[in-house]
Amino acid sequence: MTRPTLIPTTQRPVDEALRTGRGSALISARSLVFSFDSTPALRGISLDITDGEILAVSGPSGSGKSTLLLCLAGILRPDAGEIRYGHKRIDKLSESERAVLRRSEFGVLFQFGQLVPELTAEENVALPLLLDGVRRRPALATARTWLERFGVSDLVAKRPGAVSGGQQQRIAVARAMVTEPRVLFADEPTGALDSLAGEAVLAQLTRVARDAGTTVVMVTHDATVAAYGDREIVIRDGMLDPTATDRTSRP
Amino acid sequence: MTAVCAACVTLAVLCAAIVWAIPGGGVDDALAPYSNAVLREAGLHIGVVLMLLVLCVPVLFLVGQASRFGAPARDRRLAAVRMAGATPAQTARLVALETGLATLGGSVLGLAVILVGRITLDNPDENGIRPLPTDVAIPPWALFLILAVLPALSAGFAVLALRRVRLTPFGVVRRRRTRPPRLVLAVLVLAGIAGLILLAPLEQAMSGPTWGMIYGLVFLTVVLIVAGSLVFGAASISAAIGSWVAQRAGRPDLLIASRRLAEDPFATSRALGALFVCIFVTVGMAGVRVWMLASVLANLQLFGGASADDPAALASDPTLSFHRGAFDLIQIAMTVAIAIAAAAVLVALVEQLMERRRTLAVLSAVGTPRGVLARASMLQIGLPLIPGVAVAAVAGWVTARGLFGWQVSVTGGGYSTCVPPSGLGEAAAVEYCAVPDNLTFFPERTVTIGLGVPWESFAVIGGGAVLGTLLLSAVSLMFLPTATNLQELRAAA
Repeated sequence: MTRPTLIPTTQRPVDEALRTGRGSALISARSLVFSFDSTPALRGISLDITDGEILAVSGPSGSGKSTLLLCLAGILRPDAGEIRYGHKRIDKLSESERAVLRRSEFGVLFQFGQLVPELTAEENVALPLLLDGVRRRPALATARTWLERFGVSDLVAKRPGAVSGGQQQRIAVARAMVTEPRVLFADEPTGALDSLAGEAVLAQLTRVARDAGTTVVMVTHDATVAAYGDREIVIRDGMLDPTATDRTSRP
Repeated sequence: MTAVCAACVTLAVLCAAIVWAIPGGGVDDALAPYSNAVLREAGLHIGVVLMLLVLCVPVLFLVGQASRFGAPARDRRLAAVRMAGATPAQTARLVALETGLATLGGSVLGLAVILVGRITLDNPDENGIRPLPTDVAIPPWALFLILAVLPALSAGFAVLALRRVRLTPFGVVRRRRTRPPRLVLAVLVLAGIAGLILLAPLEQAMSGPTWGMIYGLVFLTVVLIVAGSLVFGAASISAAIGSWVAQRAGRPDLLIASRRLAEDPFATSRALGALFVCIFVTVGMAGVRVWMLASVLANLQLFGGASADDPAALASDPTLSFHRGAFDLIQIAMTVAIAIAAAAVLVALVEQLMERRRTLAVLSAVGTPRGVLARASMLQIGLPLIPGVAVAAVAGWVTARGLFGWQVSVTGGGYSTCVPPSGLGEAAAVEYCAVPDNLTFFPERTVTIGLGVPWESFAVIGGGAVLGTLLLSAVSLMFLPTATNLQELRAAA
């Protein structure tokens, strides 16, 4: 399946080998181990994430699900094991190479505090484009398009501090999607929102991701949120829970 | 931090008080028996006192900035006190008492350093000439100032600083200043500069003691307005520049820096204000130096026969070299003041990096290169620094010119001299000098030296301050890896 071009995209270095279509493993992790000092967070996790799927990673607090997401996104480097993105070994890349990968291929979404407080909504969304060298005017125009898609076009000139938590999160999703990433990593994307605002954000996020063919890896401890995924895996004590893993949870 | 600040201020104030208390001076070395000419000449004492007091300004700003690092620990302690049942008023009194006692401790420390210094540095030569005024008693009013007034003022300011703070049992809530800085302060600097430029010709045109007094008062008022506006208007300058650049910025580093300047101009302007004042005073003193040296030169040309075209004669002139030496000392003191003010800028930057580490970590996580964040941090200082230094330098220069005019004119002559041949008796000598042909007539003439703009001084002071501040600010980038540590994301989540 070819990903639709929603807006004029920036020139980003996409590995053609990745464009293998839905169904093949886009990201493969094998025997991931990670510790915070002497506290083990991941104890040999292996999983495959297929192109275009929405994967929910759930589990109790402290189980290692956020650490898994940060490793898969190339934000943390695992102590042992390997992570492949297509043919690339993410765990072998340098910090600057992983930064380029995150900027060009991935979108990352956190629970809160991810928008630059001094920038307006449109500037926050345009920031990844500016980092890619897009000029100010087209970058802002693209940002406004994405804000419109998430129903917050009236907030273009607002600062994050002047809008609600739900609106902030929609702006953050727009920022994560503005470069049309191949994979979107979302760490508790609705964790700081009330259930209504959370569901609205999730509904929009998953709809846009499906339209764009974006793979989504979403960490959550909330079963309602996990239900938005095509597949759900459960992490306990740094390992995949075999009794609950790989169940299809899409309603 | 409070105690260190108090000790530094005490040292400066006591040194100033001792210099102020040096008796006599002038040409009679017996009254001011010091090897250092700056201490010997009574006319220069006021300059030394002012320099010492000006040194206090960047010290206060530096310590004020550095003390913000300790704020979280103090906040936790105050919250615990409230949790234990103290009312907000009782907690405020506790803050005042703590600050007052810490200041008193610092004052005592500073006093002890001075007293020990008086003993160890008191080293008169065989003629009783001392390098420093270690024989001058500390004036009682200075002791009262540092042991009573300073702690009381410090306690008062500590309570005043709580006006934007709410002390609750669950923590200290700071109300962020949301009101934009007043643009009028930036305008006042420019208006003050224009006023000083207009005042100088007025002073030349008018004469009389009443006019002199009025001019002095108006001049002092305008200078104080300009200096005050430089401190408090630094935020306005930052906000105005930030807003203008943010509307046009196409680069992410420039956009982040300019928006930050526009949205929170107070973050760096606290430290920049002190730097601007130091530049203002330094360039002002450079202006006084130009006037003073031109005056000496004009007098030498008129009465001493020296020629401006004879550098060797000028270089060896003792009057000229004395004044040069005195101003060199002032220049060194002001360089120290600028360095301290630049250190306050560095502290402000480090504080901001630590305060914004969650945002910086997220930006780094989404792929923002660290270089972009580093450049944004430097631009945040550089954008207001360069125009601010330029404005402060111009203000300093026109202040000196407003005080002394744009040229030096010395008028002399109009008299005759007679040197009778040796061996003549007194009556014969008088008779000899009564013959007009034996007189040497010096016609009245005026030597005028224009006070050109010392571009070299401007470049050295302004350029040096900008370059030095930027280099020192770059040290803050050492903290960027810590501030963008991606594990911060997990810790804060």
